[in-house]
Amino acid sequence: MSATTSLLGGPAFPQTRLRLPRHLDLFGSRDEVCRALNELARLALVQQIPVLLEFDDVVSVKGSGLLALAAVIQTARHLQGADHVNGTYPRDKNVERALQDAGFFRLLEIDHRRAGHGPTPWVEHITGNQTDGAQVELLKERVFGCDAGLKPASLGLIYIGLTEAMTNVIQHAYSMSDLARPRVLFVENRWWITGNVDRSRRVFTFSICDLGIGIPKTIGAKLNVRDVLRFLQYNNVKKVDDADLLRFALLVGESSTDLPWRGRGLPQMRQVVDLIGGRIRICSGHATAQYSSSGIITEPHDIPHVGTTIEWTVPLDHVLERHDR
Amino acid sequence: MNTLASTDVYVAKEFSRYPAGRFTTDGPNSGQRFRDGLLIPSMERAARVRVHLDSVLGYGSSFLEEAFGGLVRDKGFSAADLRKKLDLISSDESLIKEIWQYIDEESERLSKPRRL
Repeated sequence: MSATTSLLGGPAFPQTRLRLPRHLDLFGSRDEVCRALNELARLALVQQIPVLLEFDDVVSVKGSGLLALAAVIQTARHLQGADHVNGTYPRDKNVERALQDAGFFRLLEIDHRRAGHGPTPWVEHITGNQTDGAQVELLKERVFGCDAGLKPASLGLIYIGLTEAMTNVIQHAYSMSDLARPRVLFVENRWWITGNVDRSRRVFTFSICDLGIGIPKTIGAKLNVRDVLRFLQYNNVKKVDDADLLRFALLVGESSTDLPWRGRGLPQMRQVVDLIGGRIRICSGHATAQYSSSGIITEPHDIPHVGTTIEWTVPLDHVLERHDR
Repeated sequence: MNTLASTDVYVAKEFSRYPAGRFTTDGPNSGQRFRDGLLIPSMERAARVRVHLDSVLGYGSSFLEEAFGGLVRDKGFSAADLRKKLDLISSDESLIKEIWQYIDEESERLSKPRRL
């Protein structure tokens, strides 16, 4: 496109252009976002072709979509070199501001012009390849501010949910059991987490992302097979798809296994949802799933997600001290 | 041989405000590291250990299970031994219950005949 402006002032060598979907919303526009992420991973990571991401048409963003995109960009730049993935400025100034606040320009190692009006709810993500509780406190300060009064019990629940999710990624997500998967994607057990407050809906949301083999394959590789079979028999499932396996992953904390080291990230988040409300949404493999007080809703999809993204939404008024609401 | 009647372990002060993760490979403040680096040495030098659990950001079940359930699984303590040896102190009663649950579950699990 002639109207595009490279973030870095123009590529030094030919790049393949990849147009991003209008709505970078992993759950609202799931298939479009997954298709773009898969294509970016295929080009930049597997085929090692430099990519110019076209943000021109993006008109809205959500935390989970931004985070998954940041994960693939960061991985490609880490493995293939800093100029391997580049991008264009969005036409929409508020989207540009959101990308700035979410740390995309820092991720792409460039200075940025000011754009858009007013604050956006986005903050720069944290990332790591270890379970690092100190990073949760850093994210809390970015999301709520240094002086925000979170109820200690609520902060404890958030801390537990996020650190257990980190541990789960490190122990399970990058299993080498999926031999069909390009080995380049098995990177350092890395997780990415971001959060944002939506004051109009009175909720805050954490998004957790990895580029691992996906929850459905992890279940087959790591969990107690007898539990999976018992669950499937109980639910009268004849032909198993990824949606069934995501449902199992959300319910596994209710079953007893012989292994004390079963994944505990999701059950711990689910306990918080049971206790104070909110919801969990998962995009992994060929499926999405949602857990809330209304139960579990799953949906199979043809297009797979490049890893796993979990979105954990909690009511704001349950976690903030009264004077900070 | 024990040299002290009792000793104190303050998790937040002597270990970390950010306990998290199961194994040392998970991260710097894992349950395994707490158990092997602080808890067991304290248990070896005193007949009774008071473990002060407050003032941390939180305890995930992976950390707790490995730190305390792992005493049974990997170090050969029985639940009865640990009840004589450990005094868990926290303003959160449910945390203490959770830890004893991991210890009891692991004892029970190991007492069952293993399936082929």
